[in-house]
Amino acid sequence: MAETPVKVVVDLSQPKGQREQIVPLTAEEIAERDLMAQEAAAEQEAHEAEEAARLAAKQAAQEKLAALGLTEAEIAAITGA
Amino acid sequence: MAFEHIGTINVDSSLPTSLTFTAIPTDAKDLYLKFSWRTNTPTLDDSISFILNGSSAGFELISLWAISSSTYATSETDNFLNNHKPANGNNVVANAFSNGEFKIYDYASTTTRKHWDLDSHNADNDTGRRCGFTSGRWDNTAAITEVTLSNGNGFKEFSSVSLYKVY
Repeated sequence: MAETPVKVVVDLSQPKGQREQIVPLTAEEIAERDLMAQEAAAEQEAHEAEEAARLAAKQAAQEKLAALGLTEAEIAAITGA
Repeated sequence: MAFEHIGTINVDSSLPTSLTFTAIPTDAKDLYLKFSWRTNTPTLDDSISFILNGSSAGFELISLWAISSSTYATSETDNFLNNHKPANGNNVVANAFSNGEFKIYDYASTTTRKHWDLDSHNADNDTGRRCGFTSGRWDNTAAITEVTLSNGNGFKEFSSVSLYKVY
């Protein structure tokens, strides 16, 4: 990545051929970008934890059904697994 | 229904962290934004921030997405698209780009809150790997004159975004 991150801005009020500008981010924009990245990472972590818990619960439920004597086909039929 | 192309951004090697169309004429019914992109984030899928008139506030959305045979849903009050993840990250096989489109309805109105949606699929040049749909609302009645797509790690070269007015 370039040393200073950039953004592309297309100003549609300008004549064609003069619309696009590549502009370095300001310090404020860089700080905002970093904050958003942190928040996105936290959301991702939460989602992954939620998904892991869901899969663990599903596995536990299937094992309990199997312990009750259901076959794999029967478990799949009622759980859609 | 008629489409009029009003602008395209073809990304070069500068890895821009946002792509903005500004001074969008408010003389049409809807906006349609078609994208083909890939980010520099070292993941398979990546989030994009969808920013209207420079604002990230007042967003509500519902996302449905699928990865292989698993499906998911969420509702959020932000503009991150951090669950939908409509972009290929940089860990996908080389030269594979995700594709999709945003639609923004009644964008020129100054009296209605703005509804928008997004559909996308992230491909790896082999099989469809992830797809998603998001329906969102921007709790603001201002006419939309600026649309920005943002990613903190930057958009890779050959990403492309085109904006159309819909009559």
